[in-house]
Amino acid sequence: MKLLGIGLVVVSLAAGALSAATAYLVPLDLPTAEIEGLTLGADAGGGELNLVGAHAGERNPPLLKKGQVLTLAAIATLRDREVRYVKVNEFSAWRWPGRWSFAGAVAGLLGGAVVLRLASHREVVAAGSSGDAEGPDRALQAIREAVDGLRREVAGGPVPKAELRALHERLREEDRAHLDAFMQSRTHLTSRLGPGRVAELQQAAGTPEARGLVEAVRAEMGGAEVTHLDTFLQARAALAERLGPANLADLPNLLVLPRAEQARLALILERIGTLQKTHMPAFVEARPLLVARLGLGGYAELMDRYAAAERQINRAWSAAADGVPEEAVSCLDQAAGLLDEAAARLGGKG
Amino acid sequence: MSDQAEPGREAPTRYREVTVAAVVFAVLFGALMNMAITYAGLKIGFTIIGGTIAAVVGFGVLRGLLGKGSILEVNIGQTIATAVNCTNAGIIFTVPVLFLLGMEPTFPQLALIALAGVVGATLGVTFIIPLRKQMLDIDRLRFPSGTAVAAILKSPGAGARKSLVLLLGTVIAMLVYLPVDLHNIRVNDQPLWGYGDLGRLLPDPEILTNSTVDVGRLIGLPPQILFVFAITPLSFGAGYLTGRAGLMVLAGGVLAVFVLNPTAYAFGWVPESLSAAGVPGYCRDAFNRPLGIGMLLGGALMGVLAALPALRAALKSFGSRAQVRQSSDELPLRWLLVAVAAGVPLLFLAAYLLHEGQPHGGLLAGLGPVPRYLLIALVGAAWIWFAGIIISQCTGMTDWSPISGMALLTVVLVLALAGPLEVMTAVLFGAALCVATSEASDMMTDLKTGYLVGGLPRRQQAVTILTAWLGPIIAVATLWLIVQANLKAGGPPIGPGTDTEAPQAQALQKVIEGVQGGEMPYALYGFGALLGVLLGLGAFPGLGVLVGLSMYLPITYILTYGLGCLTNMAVSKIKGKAWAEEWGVPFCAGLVVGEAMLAMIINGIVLVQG
Repeated sequence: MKLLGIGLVVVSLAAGALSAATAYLVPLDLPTAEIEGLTLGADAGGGELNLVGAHAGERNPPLLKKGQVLTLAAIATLRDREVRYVKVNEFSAWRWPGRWSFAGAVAGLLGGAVVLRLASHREVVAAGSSGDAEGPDRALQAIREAVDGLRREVAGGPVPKAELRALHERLREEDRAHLDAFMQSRTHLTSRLGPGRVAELQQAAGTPEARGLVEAVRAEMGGAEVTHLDTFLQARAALAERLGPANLADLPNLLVLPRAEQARLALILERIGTLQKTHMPAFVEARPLLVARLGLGGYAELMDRYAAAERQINRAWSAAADGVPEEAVSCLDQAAGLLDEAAARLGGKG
Repeated sequence: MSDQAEPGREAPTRYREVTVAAVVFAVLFGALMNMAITYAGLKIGFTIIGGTIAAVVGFGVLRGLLGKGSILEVNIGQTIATAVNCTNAGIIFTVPVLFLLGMEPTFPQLALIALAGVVGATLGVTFIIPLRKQMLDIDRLRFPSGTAVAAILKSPGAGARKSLVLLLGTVIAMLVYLPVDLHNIRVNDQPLWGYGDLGRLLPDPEILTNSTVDVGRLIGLPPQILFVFAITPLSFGAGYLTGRAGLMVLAGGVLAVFVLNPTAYAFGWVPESLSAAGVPGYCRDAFNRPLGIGMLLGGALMGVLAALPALRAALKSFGSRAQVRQSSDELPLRWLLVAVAAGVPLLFLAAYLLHEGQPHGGLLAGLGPVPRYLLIALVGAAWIWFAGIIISQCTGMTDWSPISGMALLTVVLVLALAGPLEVMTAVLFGAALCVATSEASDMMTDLKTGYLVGGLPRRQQAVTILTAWLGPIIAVATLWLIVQANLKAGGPPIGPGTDTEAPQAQALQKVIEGVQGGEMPYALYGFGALLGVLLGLGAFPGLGVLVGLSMYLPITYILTYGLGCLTNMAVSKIKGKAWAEEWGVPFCAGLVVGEAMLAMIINGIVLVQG
């Protein structure tokens, strides 16, 4: 059906263009009264030069030059030389030789448009019911999961509130106090030592190698700040004892180490690079399906949010490539919020 | 419980985007490009926007010399540089026609035209801002040049292999394009070597010229079928970057070259005195161009109508975002209102001060000068808005911007309103429109680049508005200097007989003379528009734009562009779509960069040689 529509449009377009090209042509077999007084829009007459020695394709000079008015004598001369058409400056629908074929072409284009629209509608319905390609819902969900996962993995900074809340709910009352103490002391230490040293401490805590490191840090900090270090170590040990190593592994944002900066940047580049090649194009390519489902207005509202999210993801990539992790992480956070809004718009009208 | 940002983290590094270094570099570089390309455009007949060049040079200066430039900072730099540069096409398409027609405009008259250009530049940018969401977020237009610039900007983070591929594309483009442009340089008054010299060694020297390969001649097609490819890696690269969608562009060219022209020849619709080889040129002027421009208008109109629901939604978010939460993505709507409120009176003022004597004919001949020019200014501003959409759509879908066609229509429109002798007024509006549409399409191209690298639209929009006005002033001043130099040398001010022949303005001269002689084929424009509207009812609304564009633009470039589209499809088929995108895009971005850079270098040499 689609092929039929395309064929109809192509043939009608060609016919329409050909017919339109004759709009200013006047067939010389029209009554003389209809031709007399018109102004030539192009040279008229001439023809191939049939002289001995003439080059192939060489032409005679024109009988009448562009701009001349068609007088009775001029018309007679042209007819004598069997000139079929002349081009004039004045348009008249009644003189136009291609008017009926142009009307046919217009009808053909209208018919072709109807057939194409029907075919397109059928395709969208078929695509919506088949599960072959990644649908927009799945693609968007995959993007959201990927962005959330990336945020968790590169978080050297704030722990998402929802995650901390969930963690709190899982812990017993006395363990919650350890968790809070751990988070607060970790914040203080990071402000004093930087994320890299805290990562080393966190990793080494509880191992024989930790002693030297702890002593070095203790010497470096001195004074009242040392209490933060002690709190940090005690709270971490208590949490490890209460939760066990398996549960510790379930708390990536809290206890998984902040990555070294270069590794974080590389991870952002790699993950976003993959997203840009897979789920993001898949979502965008689902446009016909989304338009059919949401209407053009709904689609525009969806894409308003999605595109803003995509731009933030692209910005995160650029910031990572430029070595500015704070900006990259902040962009990912914003992208996550915008993706949630896009998902709400997609789900709300789905 | 502590869930705030860890204060321990070092103070966040500010991400460099709009910086003094980027702005100063870009304004200077944009002004330099503008002068060089204005001169070269008048001499050899084409211009370049230069986004790719500005991106490469921006990296060199901001990151290499100053050691600071971020991707987004270089993006701001190339945005400003192209905003300052791109307006020269609008000036050299239109203003020289006044000298060609022997009107000898004075410096104050040229200053008024420059003022109209400044207004056009501002209107062009501000009019297109509300359409960003529509074209980029919703329609997802490709903007091949914008995509290429983004590939360049991202190359430092994309890995060494991709950078090498981009560099390979650049080198190949330079090698391929060198013999095309080299003959513009003269040593001892002799042009340097070009492909034409190689062509003369072939049995048929017409097959290979300095800039084209006549495949039709090679395979024995009759001469009325123009099957000639331009040697232009840039067009090939742009075609590849457009991909399958670009095939529609090829369709219009095929319709004109393989159907319309041969049929017209076979049925005697062309003058009998015309040789077969003259058929393509005649047909282009007689019906391909008016039909193509008409189709483009009809297609664009359908595009706007079909997009109204989406446009409304985009504008709704555009307006509401200004009031609520988070910093806005866009410049506020009031910028647009201020630009229109200031622009229309300034356009009126420039036209009013430029007019001389009483009107002779024209639809508004019965009105006094104040209401007449006020009405023309209002119609002109509305037309600038619509033409900006058309040009931006074309650039977005194909990378081609039919600015000369829009200039032609503007001049015809103003002559119809003000009278066929009001050439100065028509050229003033033509210049304003060309500058506006150049800025509009450049703005959208830059915003596409910005989208791909994550730039903030409002920052790009603000720096463009604040710097674009420089462009028309620099271009008009350069033109004025060239005219003075030509007059001092004892020749005509510009055109044939000088080094600066202004080929595009010569085409406009023909149109103005055609209007004055009553030879404009208005019906063909109308039939073309109807076909464009009808095409838009079927597959997608902008189809008429694509088909019309290639009926009207030179087929040699369209064919090379189409080859790029076909190559993309073939590579996607053989190696997979992801591979074609991952490696084909940087390579073809390199092709675009290579030709543009080489053209710029050769323009510089031509400029120095004088």
